[in-house]
Amino acid sequence: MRAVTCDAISSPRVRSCLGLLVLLLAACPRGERPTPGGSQAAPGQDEAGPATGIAAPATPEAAAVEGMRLLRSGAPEAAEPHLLRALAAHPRDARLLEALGQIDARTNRFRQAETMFRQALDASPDSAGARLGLAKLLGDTGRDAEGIEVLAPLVKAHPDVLPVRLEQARLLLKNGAAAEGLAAARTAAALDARSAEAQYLVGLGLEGTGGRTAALEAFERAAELDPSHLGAWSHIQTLAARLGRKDESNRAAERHAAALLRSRVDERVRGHRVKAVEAFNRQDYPAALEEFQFIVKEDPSDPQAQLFLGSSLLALNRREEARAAIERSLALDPRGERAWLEMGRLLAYENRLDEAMQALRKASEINPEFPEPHYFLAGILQARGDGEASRAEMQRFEELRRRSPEGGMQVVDPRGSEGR
Amino acid sequence: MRRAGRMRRGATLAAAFLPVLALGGATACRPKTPAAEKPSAPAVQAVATAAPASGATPSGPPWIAWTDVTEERGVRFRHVNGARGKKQMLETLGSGVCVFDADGDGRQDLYFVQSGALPGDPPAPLVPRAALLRHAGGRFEDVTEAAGLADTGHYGFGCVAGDIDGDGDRDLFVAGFGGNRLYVNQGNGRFEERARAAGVAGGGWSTSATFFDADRDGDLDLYVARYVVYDMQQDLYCGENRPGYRTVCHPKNFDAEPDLFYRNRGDGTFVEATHPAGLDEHSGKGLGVVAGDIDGDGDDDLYVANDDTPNFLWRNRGDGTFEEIGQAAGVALSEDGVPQAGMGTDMADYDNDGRPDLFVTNLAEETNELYHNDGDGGFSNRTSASGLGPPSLLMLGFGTFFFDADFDGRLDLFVGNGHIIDNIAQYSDTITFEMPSQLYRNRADGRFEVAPASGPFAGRYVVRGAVPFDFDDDGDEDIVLSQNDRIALLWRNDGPAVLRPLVVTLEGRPPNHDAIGAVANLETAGSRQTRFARTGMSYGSQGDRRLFFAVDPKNAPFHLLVRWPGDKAAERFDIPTPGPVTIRQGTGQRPTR
Repeated sequence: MRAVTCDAISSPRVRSCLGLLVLLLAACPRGERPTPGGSQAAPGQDEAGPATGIAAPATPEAAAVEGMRLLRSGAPEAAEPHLLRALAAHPRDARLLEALGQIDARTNRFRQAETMFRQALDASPDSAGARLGLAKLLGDTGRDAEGIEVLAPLVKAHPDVLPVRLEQARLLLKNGAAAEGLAAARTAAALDARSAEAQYLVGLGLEGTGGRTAALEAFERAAELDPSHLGAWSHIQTLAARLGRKDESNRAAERHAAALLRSRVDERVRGHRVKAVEAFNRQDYPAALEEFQFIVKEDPSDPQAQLFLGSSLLALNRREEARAAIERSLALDPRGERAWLEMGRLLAYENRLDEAMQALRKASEINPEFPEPHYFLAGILQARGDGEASRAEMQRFEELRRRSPEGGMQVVDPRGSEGR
Repeated sequence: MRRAGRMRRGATLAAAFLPVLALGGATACRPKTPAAEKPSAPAVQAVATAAPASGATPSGPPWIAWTDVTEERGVRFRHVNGARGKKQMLETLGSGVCVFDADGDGRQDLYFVQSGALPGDPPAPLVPRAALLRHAGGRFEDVTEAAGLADTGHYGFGCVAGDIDGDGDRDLFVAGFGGNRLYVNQGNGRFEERARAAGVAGGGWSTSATFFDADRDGDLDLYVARYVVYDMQQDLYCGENRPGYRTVCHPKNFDAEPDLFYRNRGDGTFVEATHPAGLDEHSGKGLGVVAGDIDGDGDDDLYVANDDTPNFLWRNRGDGTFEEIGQAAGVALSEDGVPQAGMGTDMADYDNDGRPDLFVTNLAEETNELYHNDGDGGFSNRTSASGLGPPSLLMLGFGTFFFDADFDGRLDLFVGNGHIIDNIAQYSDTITFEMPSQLYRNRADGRFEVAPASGPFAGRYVVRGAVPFDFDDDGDEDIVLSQNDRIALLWRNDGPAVLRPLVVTLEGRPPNHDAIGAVANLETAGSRQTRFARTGMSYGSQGDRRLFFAVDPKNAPFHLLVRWPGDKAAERFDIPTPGPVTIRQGTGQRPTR
């Protein structure tokens, strides 16, 4: 095992060390990323300023607009401060409360999400989004019966809205009411015959009420509409086996396995990620680039892989391509502080020092415990002749690095583990 | 069913312990603003906010009264996980507890598995060891040293006990990291460690095990569940890159460690036979294992709860070779077709149809799963229909077992909970590290309901092992729990009982003295209760070996049909009264044609 420490702050080794730290990052959890094809606007070129909004909107109303825009574009973290600012001025705005409830629910703050949704409903009892959000939340936290009650007025008011019927069916089925759930699922399927989820829920309802053959047919419809539907394939496999259709069961097993593999990109690219990090650490940047390119191809919605790709390109001095990769990373995760750091480094190399400082400060703003931006800020300030400010930044860097969780850690060279 | 929102949230929370190869800035994957640090919302009009964001456990008068008698009965054991801030995965998964008669006095004793200092770390000043607590007149006394079980250099996880050499006493197997221990009973209350000599030292990361007669040759074979390929030197960082936010990593960052199967040569030594038995065709991240005759064909099958990978149902072909049928049988995945984080498992006939059903505990934001054995080779997922799903959503279950808590003739269910991330509060405002245990009452209509949280059920724990054990021989089943980095617990069942207990001890023919694999059916007026004799179950644990039936004295005599391991026909025993009874193989009546 080889230990690497970031002690020589002005040496080229620091850059390598920093790159290594960056590259040893973890795979981002799936599901938290915006869908591919979302906003690809380059940071700094967005109509409302850089993707995370370095410049705060001037008014609470503008903050609300910006918050909603960010939420719609799949950046709930970036949206949250804007929405909170807007809410401070309009504390009973049901739309803001609902949006914040959605963000809370997506970030495991279930209690807070419930508070937000209930406050939204208190402010506006007809808020369909808040009611649906609350019903889903209750189901997700084990209170299906309560969820069914909360949803009931919405079902009554909007009997022909697919998401409402789907949620009703889910809650009923989860609560063990197979017959009622089946009826709701059938209504949903009638509303949209192309809804794989509706067909799947019909299948569950039929299975729960004893109709195996009909259930199998419903699951087959769901799988046909959505070949990535794990639940549908799984039920087809089981039901076909029990109905004596072994070949069909085996085919479904294969389709399920393939869909599962596709859904677990992290696992599929794990080997490539390890190889990429190893290559980067031994400064074999072309090899690292090749691996990261593979990962990005497999999962273009992974902001971290985009970032690492950018770091590799930066190391190869292919700055324009690096910029594009880092910008893609930031478009996917506007609050990726390490992407902002890399953007700052890139801008500094191009001697665009004001923009570099802005990016580095953004990184620090997102994560005040992040030491590295201060190191580069110190360098830029030093270059500008502001020795006092530079020293302050360097002091901050040292202070944060000491207390950083990684500060006391050895950086493991993966090569050191070979042969054990 | 598939819930886009839930999956997304699951991923978010999982991010707390997911990241792979991480070192330093896992902040790129940060699981959003932690609850504790969210900018406070502006003051808004207060409205009712249902306080508990979960449907977990109601309050109210107790259904069964429970008393914590840990101290009073001398159960003194503290598990030590050796955590030193690195958040190694090992720290959070230990360990189990076994109930077995260690000294041959006819009373079952308690063995708690210890973990201790992490491999590679310097030993603690007071080196923690496992504990053998001898059952002595209703109290327990520590006889670990005298029994030769004071091994301090083994980072243990699960245990299982059985008579491996047919000499009439129970031997002890302890699964651990870096190898296993086999403590062979010398018959005088002392044990000798012989894992290597017996061929079961293994390696890698073993978690749970079960003794069972795979090939119907009369002796006990051994299945060892293993977890992931784990390198202590690979100092991965997972969680947000901020002080206090580092977490254990998700198993998806590691390859599965294949399980191992050892065939008993008949003399208490084993040959590793994973491949010949066909048990190497699939690899999972095994944590819980239980053996039993799932398909009623007279041999024991295996069910393995895997973390992050599909659970296994290994069907015994009858000749000691196996085929994996978990997915086709419908017991491998969640209802939505997703592999879950299987932890503990039990197998029992909860609906009195004579067939063993399966239950698996899983991670928070997943439901525990109940698979009903439909008798045609397939299972129905009854998680939703039984009512067991919703109360488990915010819990992380480990040790679990079916037992008849109130002696009404229907098996109830215990689930011991406790998260694996000790700083989970940094990542969720709802899910906690310490959690209440849950007791589910079988309502007889296919549904279970959570019993009110009272007595020790009102407390919060970090449970790992959990087993039933009638330690005071009063006929009802009490509960023994092991915790992670905390003290062990003993909870006494204070009733009330609906019916009377009939407590059956099976004595099989040598070398299978404990009749492991036997199935006992009690049929009384209009009802049937089926119990299975087995060893390892729950999570790395083993419970009371006696079989408990609930009977109404007015229905005496009680007709017990026992299908002994290796026998095709059952024997009938007429038992005149409730209470304890010992049944010996070959002394019953064979049914006449």
